[in-house]
Amino acid sequence: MKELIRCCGLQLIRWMGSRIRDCDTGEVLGTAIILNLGGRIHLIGYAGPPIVPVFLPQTQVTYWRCSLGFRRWQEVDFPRVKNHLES
Amino acid sequence: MSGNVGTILLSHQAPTSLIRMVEYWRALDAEQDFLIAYGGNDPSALLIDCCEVINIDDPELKTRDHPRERQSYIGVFRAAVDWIQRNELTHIHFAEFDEIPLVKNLNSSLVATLESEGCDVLGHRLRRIDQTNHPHCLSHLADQKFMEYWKMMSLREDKTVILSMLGCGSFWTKEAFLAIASLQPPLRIYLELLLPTAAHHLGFRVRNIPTDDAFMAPEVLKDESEIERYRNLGAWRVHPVKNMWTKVV
Repeated sequence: MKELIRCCGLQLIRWMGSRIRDCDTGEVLGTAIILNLGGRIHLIGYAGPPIVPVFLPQTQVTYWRCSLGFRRWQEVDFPRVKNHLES
Repeated sequence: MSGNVGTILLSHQAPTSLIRMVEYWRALDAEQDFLIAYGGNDPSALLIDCCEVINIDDPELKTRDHPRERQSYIGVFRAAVDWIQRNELTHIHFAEFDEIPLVKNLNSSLVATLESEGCDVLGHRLRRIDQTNHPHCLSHLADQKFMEYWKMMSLREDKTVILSMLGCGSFWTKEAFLAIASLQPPLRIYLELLLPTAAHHLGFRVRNIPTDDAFMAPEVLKDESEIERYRNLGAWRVHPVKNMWTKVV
């Protein structure tokens, strides 16, 4: 039952939610209902890949507005570092 | 294949299912040692003789809601150390019972991928999740000890990186596996975070397995009857197939 409600909720959000785009590539990552409650922004029903919120750069100095966007981390590709096992 | 690969099969199923599972894996690739890490409650499972079996009586493994209870594989890793050293293994394939290999000599392919990537750990659905909305990361961040632990043990310049990967289907060099087995974190950390993040901060290179992520997705349950279709789609293995070993023959 819980799973059914969750599934219906996600379908509804997919239909009426805002599209979440990767601010670098423009790719649609998922949909969510975005709410501002209690001084916090809540993302409801987002089921896409993990996203990082970022304030977006602006081409002009604007004092009255700024935009918050989302991006994904690039793929995990860190080099090996010398560690105690190699010493 | 360069190296000596051992496969750890984590299962809680009945002895007949365990035997069926090992026979299937062995038919696809006989050139490997097997260890069953048994997390079930049937003592007769420890008596099967198709391969070595160790009992994992660890409350951190035996969880019901795995992410919320922060299931951990540290106890399994620790229990496998003696088997790894006795068999002089160079690589370890860590598989759960519902991961089904589809191709012959899977380990050769994984060793080749590990070498071509120049890495120590290969995992599925490997992602960086710090600063993101990832629910496992957010729930751990509420515990101050979580970030303190990485800051204390990390050999990296950036000690804030948190990685996540699936618990099943990971492939390890012996050094990376043993390093994880020796850890004693001061808090319980969900295995999907602990395994890749700890390996990363210990200096090992962790990479995503370039194929198969869709075939391993845990939220899409697969059936034994679909295996041939997945094989034709190029999958090396599929997960999760819950009914593969329990069917009545």
